[in-house]
Amino acid sequence: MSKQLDLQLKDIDKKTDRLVEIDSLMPLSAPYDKEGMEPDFVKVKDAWKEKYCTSLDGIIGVDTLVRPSTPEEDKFVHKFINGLAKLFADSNKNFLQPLTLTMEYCVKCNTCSEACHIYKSTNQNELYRPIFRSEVLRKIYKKYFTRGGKLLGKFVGADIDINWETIARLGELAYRCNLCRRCAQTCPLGLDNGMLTREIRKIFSQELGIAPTFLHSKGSVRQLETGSSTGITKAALLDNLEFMEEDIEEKTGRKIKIPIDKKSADILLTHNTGEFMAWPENPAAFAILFEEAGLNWTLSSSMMGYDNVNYGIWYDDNMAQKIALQQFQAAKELGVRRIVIGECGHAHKAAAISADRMTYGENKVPVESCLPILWELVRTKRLTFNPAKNNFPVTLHDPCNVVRQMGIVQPQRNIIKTICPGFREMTPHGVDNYCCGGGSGFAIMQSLNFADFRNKVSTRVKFDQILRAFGDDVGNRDIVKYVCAPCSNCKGAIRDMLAYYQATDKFNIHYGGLVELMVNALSTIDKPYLTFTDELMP
Amino acid sequence: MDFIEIDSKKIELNEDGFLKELGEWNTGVAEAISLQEGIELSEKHWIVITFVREYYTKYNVPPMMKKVLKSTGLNLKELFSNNPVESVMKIAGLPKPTGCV
Ligand code: SF4
Ligand code: SF4
Repeated sequence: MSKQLDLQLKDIDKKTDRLVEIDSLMPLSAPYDKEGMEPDFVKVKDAWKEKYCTSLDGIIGVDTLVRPSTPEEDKFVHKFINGLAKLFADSNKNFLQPLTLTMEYCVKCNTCSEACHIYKSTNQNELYRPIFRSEVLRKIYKKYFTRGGKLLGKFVGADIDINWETIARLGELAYRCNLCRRCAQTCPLGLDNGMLTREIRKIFSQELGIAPTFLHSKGSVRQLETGSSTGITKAALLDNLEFMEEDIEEKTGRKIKIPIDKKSADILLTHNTGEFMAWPENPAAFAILFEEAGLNWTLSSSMMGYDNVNYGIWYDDNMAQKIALQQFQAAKELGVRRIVIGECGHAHKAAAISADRMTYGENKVPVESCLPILWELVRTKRLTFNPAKNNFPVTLHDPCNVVRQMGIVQPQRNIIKTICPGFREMTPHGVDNYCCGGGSGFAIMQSLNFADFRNKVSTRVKFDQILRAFGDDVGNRDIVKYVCAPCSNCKGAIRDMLAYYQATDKFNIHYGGLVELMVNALSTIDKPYLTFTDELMP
Repeated sequence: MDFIEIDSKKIELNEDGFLKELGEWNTGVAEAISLQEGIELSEKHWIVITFVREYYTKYNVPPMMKKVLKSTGLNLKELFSNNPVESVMKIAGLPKPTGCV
């Protein structure tokens, strides 16, 4: 096993139990700057080593990437190489050009490394350098697809042995990147190592049928079968809505009938269905605000109309397209004027950007983000607030898909600045934000020891940003602190992070969405909406 | 592969500690899994387990935790560890929650 700074590219095919150890982590800010403030990595079980690919860094992200019998190994490699060839065919239309540029023009200036939170949080572990992954792919590509590579091998950098272990390690490595594209934003040549990572995931899923269970079989596939990756069916949805209506009445004294399947409404509001299960106060807050502002809106209960997630955009073009087109179809059937995406970042990108290129003309329904609409309601005073009700420190997390990917930066800030006197920015923020560490599926990948990688490595920089944003207030248990994260995935990652570091129990740090803060400050409601008591205790 | 043993019958668990075959659940299985979780089942626990299982039978999906809380009025964290959502599902013999939950 190499020390993390000594790892070299050519080691990727090495016969060893573990390529590299995560032997160093970025120190956290106070009060987490003391020993013993975080649990250690759980030990890799021997049974795992036999079954999965633990030979990269000891973490298992892809629980379906299991060791085949020896004769199957060659087939596996062969299929991968075939898939690699397809990436460079015309049929890979939307990705072919940026992929080719990224493969051919990198000058190894390493500007991108500095930008990556995963590289940063491990004190520059070579394995997580954004171009390490890309270089491995380049070597494989050269070996098989260039004349020079076939004849001259190592003179052109095609000097690695390509066996099951090499490819499997690359497959695991494709799940050590959040696809946040912070690196792409800083590359002077505009190259995109995040996109390249996703292309690797694509080969695994589309050619080898390998993708993490929670993204694919219990994610996209479940969504297409039941209507939601959570398994929530229409009946369960309606039951949840009824529960929410009762809860709203108890909390605010308002009797609200949540509109459902209303034909020809102006707005079809779609949520990440995880909200109904884990954070029902978020969709409930949307209902309160939209009703108070008198918008003509509805939810849908039709098969693909109520869950706006699309995990396909993280690993598989075919799944992404299937889901996106059926979601459009559901909106079409309802005859709404536009789809408005609630607080879910990847759903923003999937529906507004990725799906935009998947179909055209009649099949499309305009897609908008909820954030500018909410700001408009605040700006025009259709909603009025008493900011004093939000009298606690608040910081804002920028979901990569909404902010860096779509350029929606100001509306959420304008709202928070209007309603939260204790608002303070993280450093850096806006399009320069760091990923929450849950991006690209990490927040929902809960198998084996992957949560360790998320909690200790990928969310580390974000956790540190949160600590720094609250500064001296962190240590004061009497002050409630609120991390506003307008995205279901980010909330999932932040929830797990706060639990892992016991930051809520020890330091009174809470998290939630944006609309909850808005309802909490509404001047027309007396009772507080946010109670900061443990939601799992009566 | 992990498993629990009841009356010398082996019942398989998956790597995350959930029942492999949901059909193998019975009250004895619940007792055995809860011991692994370091929980001793009381009457209160059974109220939660029964509620969750009934909901699951009806809707094929677990109820939201808020609903469990409201319907039973019980302190889930106190009863079922710091990660009650997973513990409850495990002991009740239901699958691990999926999606962005
Ligand atoms: S910043 Fe761009 S050119 Fe420089 S190493 Fe990274 S990908 Fe290559
Ligand atoms: S996309 Fe994000 S996580 Fe992936 S290499 Fe680039 S900066 Fe790192």
